Amino acid sequence: MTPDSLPPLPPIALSEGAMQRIRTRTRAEARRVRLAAAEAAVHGAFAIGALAWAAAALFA
Amino acid sequence: MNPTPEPPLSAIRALAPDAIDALVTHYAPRLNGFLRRLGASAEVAEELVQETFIRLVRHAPTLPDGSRVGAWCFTVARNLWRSHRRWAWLDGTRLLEFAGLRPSVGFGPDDALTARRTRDRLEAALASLPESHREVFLLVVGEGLQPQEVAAALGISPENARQRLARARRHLEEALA
Repeated sequence: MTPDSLPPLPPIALSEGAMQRIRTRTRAEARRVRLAAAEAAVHGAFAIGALAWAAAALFA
Repeated sequence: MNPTPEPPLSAIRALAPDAIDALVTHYAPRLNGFLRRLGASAEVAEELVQETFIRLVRHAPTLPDGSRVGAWCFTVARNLWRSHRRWAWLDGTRLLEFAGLRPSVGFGPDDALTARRTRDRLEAALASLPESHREVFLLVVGEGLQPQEVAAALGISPENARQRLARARRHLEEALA
């Protein structure tokens, strides 16, 4: 047997409980990141709107 | 080896729930195998796999075009393992636990005696490799990463990665002869 003829190294399965814990925490973190991004977008849009309103009021 | 396909990069960037689940299914056992073969206990490997996915999710929206998520995950998992080990050595109470850890040989339903013996020999030979050589070998031969990707993951030059791979092969040849 040589290193080039080695059998493939199989993944080592995690227990179903461990997989479930990882899925749950990863989904929760993904949701948190998505919400934070959406919130930042809303704040950005609000800031741009406020600036536009202020500029319009200034030059009206 | 793992039939779950990797989801497209656009879905990963958008953090689509299905894409996130598919990533976990696709990479968790592979990352776990990588970490266990580097010497992590089952508990530590689970913790580091989890942390790898947390970091991936936080980083996903800014992944550039052409990113290889697999290489990214193995890079992060390897760095987390090194960091964990540094802290574990500093924490004297964990030394005994650390000393007792060896990669286990639970590979699932394949109970053919010859295959098991071959794998046992391979695991033993792998465990006898210096870690710097073992991680290169596991990433190239075990996970199919390109030497350039391995070099980037480990922060070494491609030439250095190739040298380590060649030395690992020689060492294994002798160990398995």
